[in-house]
Amino acid sequence: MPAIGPCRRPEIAWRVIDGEAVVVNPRSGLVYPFNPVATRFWELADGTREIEQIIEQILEEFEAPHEDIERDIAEFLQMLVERGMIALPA
Amino acid sequence: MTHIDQRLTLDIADLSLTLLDDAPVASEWLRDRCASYHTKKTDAAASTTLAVRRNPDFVMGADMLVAELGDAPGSFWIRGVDFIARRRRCGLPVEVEAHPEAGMAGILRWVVSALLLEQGGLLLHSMSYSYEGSGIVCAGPSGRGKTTLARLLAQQVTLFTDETTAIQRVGDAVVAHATPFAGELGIVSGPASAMLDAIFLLRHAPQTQVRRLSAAEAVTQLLGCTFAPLRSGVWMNACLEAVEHLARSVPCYDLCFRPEVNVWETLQDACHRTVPAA
Repeated sequence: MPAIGPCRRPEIAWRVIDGEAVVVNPRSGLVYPFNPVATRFWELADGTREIEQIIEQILEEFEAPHEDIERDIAEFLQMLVERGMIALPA
Repeated sequence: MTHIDQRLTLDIADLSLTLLDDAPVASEWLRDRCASYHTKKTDAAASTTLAVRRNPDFVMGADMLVAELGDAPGSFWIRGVDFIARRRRCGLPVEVEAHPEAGMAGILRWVVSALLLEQGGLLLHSMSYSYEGSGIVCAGPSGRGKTTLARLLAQQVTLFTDETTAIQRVGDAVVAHATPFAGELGIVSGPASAMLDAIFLLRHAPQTQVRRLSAAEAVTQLLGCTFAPLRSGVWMNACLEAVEHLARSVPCYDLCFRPEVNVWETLQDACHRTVPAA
């Protein structure tokens, strides 16, 4: 089924440890420790949810202003796309 | 120059490895550095054979090592600058094609890394030692002070290595093993092992201090100390699993240290009192 939202690239190695993801990008060889919000975004970005659905889900789980979460996730998503760690739907 | 006999068996971190390689460059390392790891045990079924074929026409690879774990159990493929090693599945020999000048230590280190990973173990860039039965690992990439620390502690402890420690799971416990892969210090201690009681992630600093790391912090730092080809997703996932087990099983500390003798007191202090987890 084609992805309808952001989708983690399958070659990325990752693991969630006590609510924080440690992510390795094999393209660059860099290791990224994610904070809890970034970790939740990463877990939800499996291609089955649109970006708006992911933001809604995160807003339900974390206490933070809507606009802050929306801005942070937009910046984070852009970084992940630029580094080839997440694909956006065609 | 002495060549290896047809067959030579080494015992490294409880892995039995039978080498078939008669290149002078191989025998030199094995004779000079690795003699204490030779073993007379000849249980062929329990030993992994490394069959090395030296090829004068070997096409040298790029600087970066590339490696991958295969789908079949125990299968892997490693491409270094001057060698290719592959095993098609568990129980079969590791077939190595290498340049005539390719060092045996470099080849063997990567093969040992792959074999340990199959068992949930790891090779770590680290100095390690035992003291009163406790195994301690001080890990860090090049330049973080592994050899400096080894020099500082050499009088107090039984030094395993200043460069490469093998980590193995034994039930719920973790064991640290010496390896013949020495660093700047150039000392190969011979086979030795101890139950691992603490891991220190090293860095130089103006003041010596220690801080307990969370599991996620420890995993992030330990990953940079593994012999893992970062560009291999499958290998890295296996490595992540092994590193997480290690970080959850053994207390991990950030050790900022100034190269002076009192670092020994700091290490002992951290090992004997409970530094709260972050």
